[in-house]
Formats: sequence, structure tokens, C-alpha cells
Amino acid sequence: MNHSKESYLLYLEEEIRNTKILLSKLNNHDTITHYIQELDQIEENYLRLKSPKRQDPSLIIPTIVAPTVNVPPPRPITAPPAIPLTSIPTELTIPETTFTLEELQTNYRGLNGQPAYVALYGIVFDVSNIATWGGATHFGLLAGTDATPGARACGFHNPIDIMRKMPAVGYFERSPSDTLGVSGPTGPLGVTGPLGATGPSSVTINPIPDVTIPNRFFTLQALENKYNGKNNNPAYVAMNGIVFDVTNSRTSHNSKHFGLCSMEDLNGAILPRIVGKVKEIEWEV
Amino acid sequence: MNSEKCPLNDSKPHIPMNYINMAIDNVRQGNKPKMNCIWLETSSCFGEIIALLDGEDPGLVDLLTTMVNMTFFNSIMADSGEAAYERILATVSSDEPYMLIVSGAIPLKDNGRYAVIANYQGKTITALDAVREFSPKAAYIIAAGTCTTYGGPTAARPNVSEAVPLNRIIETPIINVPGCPVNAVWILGTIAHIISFGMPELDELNRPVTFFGITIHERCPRRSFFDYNLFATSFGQPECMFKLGCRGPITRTTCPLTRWNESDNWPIGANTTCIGCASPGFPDLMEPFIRY
Amino acid sequence: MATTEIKIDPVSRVSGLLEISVDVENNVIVDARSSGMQFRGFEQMFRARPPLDMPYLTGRTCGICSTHHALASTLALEEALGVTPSFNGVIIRELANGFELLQNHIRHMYQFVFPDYVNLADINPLQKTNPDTSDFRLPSDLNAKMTADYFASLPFSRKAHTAIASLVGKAPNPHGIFVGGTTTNMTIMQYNEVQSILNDISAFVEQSLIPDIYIIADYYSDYYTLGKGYGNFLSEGLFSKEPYPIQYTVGGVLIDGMKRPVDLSFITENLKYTWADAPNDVILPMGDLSVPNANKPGAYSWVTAPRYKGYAMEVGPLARMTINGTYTHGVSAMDRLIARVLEAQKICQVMQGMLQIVKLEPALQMQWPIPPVASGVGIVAASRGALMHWVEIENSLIKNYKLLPPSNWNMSPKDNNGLRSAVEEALVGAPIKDLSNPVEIGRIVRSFDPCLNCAAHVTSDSHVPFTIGIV
Repeated sequence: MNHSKESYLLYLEEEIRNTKILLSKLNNHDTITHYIQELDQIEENYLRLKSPKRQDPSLIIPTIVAPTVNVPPPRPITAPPAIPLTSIPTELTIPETTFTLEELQTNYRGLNGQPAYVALYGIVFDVSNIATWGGATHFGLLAGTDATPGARACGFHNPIDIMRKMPAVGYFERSPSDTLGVSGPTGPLGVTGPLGATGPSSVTINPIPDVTIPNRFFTLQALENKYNGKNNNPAYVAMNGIVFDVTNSRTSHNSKHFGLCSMEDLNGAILPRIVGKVKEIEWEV
Repeated sequence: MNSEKCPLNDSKPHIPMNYINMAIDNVRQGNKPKMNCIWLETSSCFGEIIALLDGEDPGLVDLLTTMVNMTFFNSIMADSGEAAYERILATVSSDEPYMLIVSGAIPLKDNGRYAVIANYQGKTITALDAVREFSPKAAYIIAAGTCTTYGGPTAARPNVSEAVPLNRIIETPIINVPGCPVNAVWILGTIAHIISFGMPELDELNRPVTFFGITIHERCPRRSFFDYNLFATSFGQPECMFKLGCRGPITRTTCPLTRWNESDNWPIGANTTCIGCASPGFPDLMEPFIRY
Repeated sequence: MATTEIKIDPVSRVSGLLEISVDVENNVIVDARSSGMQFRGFEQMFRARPPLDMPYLTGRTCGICSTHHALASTLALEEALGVTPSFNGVIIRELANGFELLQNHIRHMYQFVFPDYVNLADINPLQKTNPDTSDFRLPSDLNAKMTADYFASLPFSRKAHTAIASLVGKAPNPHGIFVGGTTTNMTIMQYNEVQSILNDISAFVEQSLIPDIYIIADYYSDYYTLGKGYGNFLSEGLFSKEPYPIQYTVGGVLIDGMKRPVDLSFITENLKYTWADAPNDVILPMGDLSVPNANKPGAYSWVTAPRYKGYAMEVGPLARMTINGTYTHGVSAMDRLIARVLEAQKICQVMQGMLQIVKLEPALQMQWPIPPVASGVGIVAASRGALMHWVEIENSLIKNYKLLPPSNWNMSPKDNNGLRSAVEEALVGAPIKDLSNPVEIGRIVRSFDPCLNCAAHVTSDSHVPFTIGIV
């Protein structure tokens, strides 16, 4: 697979398209602002990658390059050398390599001397020597996986910001069914529909076949009365403009979940790798 | 870091005693009467009380004699039953300001029946009732321990009792002092600071910056091993335990300085990883605690 | 013949949230109910977690006895993983276990029990609101001595935890007790510190703890006749390894005067009066979990009711010392207190012996492989009695993890046949002199050293079974 950068550009184009679709369906001002900020960042990255020879110094992103280490180790080192505190500013470069999920899961888990690589937002990062990834894990995210769904639960991370802290080693080859980063080997939360404050009658819909967010709208009243998980109702919860089906989620009990992923309370966070597959609901009128 | 060269590091372990001495002087000179204090134990392992008893300079006696007028503290108080509960009522209904310290998460399931702290005149008083009722008039509210601050092991998945940290129940500002259990230095230092200086400086998670401002990694004695890529491959080795899953880089406490239980030892010194017991997300997001 | 119900909630000076209610007729207790008022569901919480996390996570069950949990968990894991610990590692962790016992016994006696018998200084909240109706009998000079000893004991119980930290990193929730023995590299510095602390604590036990309890026994000798319970004891082994210069006990059960070895297969957990559901209201220690039900009719506690061959057993220092043959004075509230103190003395002696054979050598640790399927049991003599952990591993993760802490035995509710627990039976028959100041209740209950954090860990299986994704 040598179309790494081209694939990634296509992935970004799709992200931009999907985010715009999402924005067209939203009514809540805070949610719209949030997604507009995301869209700005994704579009900026797209432009940077597409035309890398820009001269504007403010667009030069330091890329971290691992140097050689001169100190002879007393024991054989199996991990890459440490990253120095000063980085060498260059233009935005991501090595033209692609990693598949299988490769990550087999060779880059960070266990038993393996390097630790993790896929985030379509780019693969080397976390072998990143202090916050002790034991090749970070707040429940695992190296050797696509950690995008779990990371997204804490909010969007601009890959450029991530690249300032850890080296990018290539692109992540996603399977065809992945969109919007909602993918992974252990099953994501089922996504059932965006939240509309006033209901379907006030929003126009642009159906695109690839979108995995079903074309359903839920008012707050509907969630409270019909999807509250009580009396055998399904349990739906809205987060960041998306409605999730948590009826069978292991971290929800009696349709209540108290581990929202904020810096304050990360206990019991909805982690895709723990929850397992959530049933995708069928369409109702 | 050599503590002789860095006065900041050198003073850190003694900060609580400095506060205590000021508090004692204030009380003796009649400047400040002892503030009333209620310590409410809710749903936890009650480790905070053990940590408190383990405190030395200051310790439990300093707390009770010179720092606060502790009117209710289930684990050590002489009274039981209704006489004990009436002490809370008397404290809350008086005009004097009081400090409310909560240790333990608050279960919500079945209207809070999963932690009942009293039965008064035939009525069951749950932890949920208690914190709702006794927090509005408190002058200071301290959440002691990781369970109270973040949910901790009590709220770990699947969280059958639907326990939540204190800040999910009450709106008033809370001072969060996490730790599993909270180190005596942190809780007593926070109380002492309030008495002598009022509200301490808090970070964005409402934790006193003095105790929770800097990560363990930044002051770890094994840091040079990390910088030179010398990593332990199992417990029991002297090198950096980053590869085993040490949470020092993301955990902000003074453990490298204050150590534990007035000994020189701490988890790293015992050749084991820091498991992030004072971090948000403990234990679910700090696991696995050791990984080969 | 009117029956009055007396309900005490909270019962202070116990570890955890406890409610005791008794029925009194003619100033005598005719029935009693012991209620653990807190439930977290730890057994359900342990599932699907990495096995090597268990020595750390199980300690969070209870802050006052976390070292015992870490040790029980390590023993269970070592059996499951097929690991033989290093002998020196075993000594180091047994020393830590011993210090946890000492910390508990000292704190129980002074901080938990004394305020029932001693009119402590006027320091809030250590003094009773109504000392005149609290049946304080000590003359003022002895009362002053006891009060001074209450405060003098604090550094010694603290030092016990300093010794634990010196040996295994931290207390509560030690880090150094782990598969393979310990993670600690024993050096002369730790040896010195631990030896010195043990000497100090031993001296305190001899000079203050033992004389103090006998002084109380002198003035409250009626408590030799109160709080007997059934007199059926269950004890596990403690410090019974061969090369130890001084050994303590190998354990056993004592039922109706007959002594036998412990057989774990005779243990069942009854749920009829527990706020939990299970088929036939019975679960086995290493078996299915129950489902919490706060609205179950007739139930009055979160604690399950374990029974041994249908008998309600008592565990703790009195059980250990009686089965051992060391303590023959009898069974009562006061005997329980005295046995606890004498056990502290014995533990000090045993630990002195262990320090003679401990070596200054590094820890034996390696990368412990987790088999895909395994199981193990860990039994530890905890401060309050026998503590048992069962572990079952599948897919190299925890499939099932069960705890049976000592306070489950002592403080349980009635079982499915209405048989009272040890504490409930101990209360029945006790005379209450003053119904509005029932001091007898607290004294009898606290002689058991209750710990309700441990006891109410009852499990929940209310979720659909889920698959554990291995990445």
C-alpha cells in the first residue's frame, strides 16, 4: 500500500464532509460551535498536507525526530531511543508508511520489548518512550490498537498537537467500514442519531450513503420520556450532539451512567474496549 | 534533586507543621476560635481515617485539640446512635461556621440506600440525604480521598451502587484532596491551611496546588534511569518502571518527597509501579497496574 | 410483657457503617439484628480485570486491614499461577501482616473500645455527651491513666504502619506484597527500622496494653458473663511455618467442643435476610454471585450470612487462641478483649523470632505468566478472623473473584433457618439496666471488632454477561 498520504487525504476529505453534514443537522449552539472548531482544525490539516511547501513560518510545525543516543547501555535496549526535549522544526512530514490494524495488534503492542505504536485520527504514533504511556497504556487506551474512539470520548484532539508531543511514524489504514474514526476491533458504541433540539421538521437532510450516523433525530423530551431505559424502554444518551444506545452497555446500570469522561470524573468512562458491541437499533417512524 | 540546593523541596514536607504552628498560635492568642468540624464517612473503605490516625506532626491529637472542634466523626466518637446524630444537627443549626469533610463516594441507587449513615427517630438517613442537607451551610467542604473526589474504587465499573463523587451531588465549591488513601500530610495540611490562611490555591480540579501541583515523574529519584532508557523488566529491580506501566508521569502528588507513614519508603521505593491512586480515573483508567 | 425495640444507628467506633437493633423484654435482650449498612459490589467490580492487579485492588475493600487483603490475594494468585514464593519474601510479608495485626489490635482496644469504659478527656468527639449515664466505673486516678494511655497508644499503632511502609512501601494498601513473595530488597536499614519499631511496640504491649485490659476487666467483671454467643469457633493458621523459631497456630474448627481441621467445602452463604437475591437464597463461596435488592422483604443487612455445616461460627483472636489451647478462660465479651490483647503479645514474640531468620537479600521477582485458565484460594489470619479469597481466571483475566472476610461470620444477619450470627446470639440474654442508655449493647458488639466495609461486599449479577475483548 503506497498510497498512504493519498488515502489519508481522502480520509480527511470524508471527515470534512461528514462533519459538515453533522453541522447541518444540529441546532444546539454549543454543539455547533464545538463541531465548527473541529472542522476548522481538520480543514487546516488537510490544506497543510495537500500543499506542504508553504513558506508561512506560522504554518511550520515542528516534527519530532529521534536522535541517536551516545550513552552505551548496560543492557540491550529493545525500545527506540528517548526523545529529546528540544525538537528540530521542520515542515509537517509524516513518513510514507501505512500500518494496518493487524500489524499494530501483532507487532506494536509495546509488550515484551515490542515498540508501542498507537493509531489516532488516522495517523500512527510511536509512544514507546512517551512518559504518559507507561506500560504502553494511557488512561485505558492501549498501544497496538486504533485508540481513536476512546480518545474521542475525551474530546477531539488535533493530530497536529499530538505530533508536537510524539513522533508520527505513518498512516493508519482503516478498514472500509470505518468512518468518522468510529471503528476498532473491540466494538464501538452504536451510534443512533444526532440530537435535534426541535425535531426533524426544522432540519434539512443530505443523505450520503457512507454516513454511519443513522438519520434519526431525538428531542430532549423524547429521550426523557421514551428512551430513558425505564420500564423496558431502550436507554439512549446524548453526548456531543450524537445519540448513543447504551441499553446494553456494561457501564450503565438501570439506564444510568455516572462515569462521564471529563478530567474530573474518568472512572467508569464509556470505553469501547470494555463495553462490547451495542445493538444498532432498527428504524422506526 | 538535592534538597539542600532547593529550598522549595526542602520545605515541602514541613509545610503542614508550619500551618499547624500558626493555627496553634492563633488559637492561643484568641485570634481564631476553633472552627467546628463534621467528618462524614460515606461509602468507601474508610482508609482516610486510618491515614489520619497515621499522621504524625501533625496527627490526630493535633487535629482534635488545636485545629478544629470535631463534633461528629463516626470512627472515633464516643457517642452512638441518636446522640451521635444530634451532634451533627447541633453543629449545622448553630450560627458558628463549620467545616464539612466527606470521605467516601455517594451511592445514588435506590435513593441512596447503599450507604446509610444513621437512623434518627425512625427515619433512615442515607449518605445522599446527609451531604445534601449538611453542605449548604458549611463554610468549607473538603472531599477527602479518591472515592470522594473522583469516584475511585467505590465507583469503579460496573458501579453497582451507582456511586458518584461529591461534586456530582452538591454545587458549592469543594476542595478536592484525593489519594487512595489520602496521605495524612495532604489532608491535615489542607485543614491547617484553611484554619490559618483560608482557602488554599486550587488547580483546575480544585486540588490544593501545594500537594497536587507537580507530577511524581518530575521529582522521581529514578528519573535519570528514564532519561537514559534504563527500564526495569519486572518488579523488584532498581531501574525506572515506565515500561511496566508506572503512572508517575500522570499522577500529581508529593509522594516522592513526603513518602508514606513517616518512613523513607513509598511504592517506587518498594520496587513497584505507581498505580495512580490519586489520579482521576483510578482504578479503571490506571489499569493494568503492571504489564510485562 | 411489652417488647421494646432499641435501634442504634450509627454504631460508632467500628470500621464501616453498622446498625444494631435489639428487642428487649423485661430489660433483657430477646432478639437482635446486626445490619451492615453499606454496599459497593466489589466482587462484581473485580471481574474482567488483569489478575496481577488484584493484590492492589482487593486492599481497597478495607482501609484498616488492607495488608491482609493484599496477602490473601497474593496467596490465591500464587496458587493459581503455580508460583512458589521465595522463603525470605514470605517472611517479609508475614512481618508486614504481623504489623497490620498489631496496628489493628492496638487501635481497636484504645480508639474503638476504651471510650465505652473510660471517661476520656474533654476533647470533642472523644467524650460522651452524657458521661453520667454511661456506666463509667473507674476511679479517677485509673481513669486518668487510661486516658493518658489512649493518647500514648497512638504513636505505637502509627509505628506499626511505619514498619509496614518500610517493608512493603505504604500503608494502607501496601505495594510490596506480590506474587513471588515480595518486591522489597531487604537491607540493613529496613531491618533496623523494623526491629526497633517491634521492640517499641512489644514494650508498649507489655507495659500498657495488657495491664490496661486487666484493669478494665477488674471493674467490669460482669462482662465475663455477657456476650457469649455460641462458642463455636473457626480459625485459620497464623505464623505456623516450620522454621519459625516461635510459631502460633495451625487453626481448625471447634463446634460443640469438638475440634476438627477446617474444610472449606462446608461453607455456604445464606441470603434470606440479606438485601440480595439468589436461587434458594444460597450461594457458595466460589460460585454464583447474588443480585443486590434493596427492597427485599424481611431482609435487614447488606452482609451475607456464612455458615459452616449450618453452624454460625465466630472468628477472631478468641477463636484462634481457644482452638490453639492458649486461652482457656472462657467465651464472653471480656474474654474476647483479653484474647485480642494476649494475641498481640504473642504476635510480637513470633515476629521477634522471624527477625532472627530473615535475610538481607533482594526480592525474587520475574515476569509472571498468567495461564489462560486457573484458580486458587488464599486464606489469611486477619485481625478480626479468617479472611478467604477465591480467584478464578479465564482468558487470562479475572472470571470470578470472591471474598469472605471475617466480619461476614461475626456480624452477619440470620441465616435461612433463622439462626442468629455470633454477634446477634451474643446480644441475646444480655440485661439492659437502663433502656435509654443501653451501654451493654455497644460493649458486646465492639468486643467482636466489627468491620463492615469488608463484610458487605455482596455481589451483583444484574447485567447480561458480556464478552471480554482481548486486544
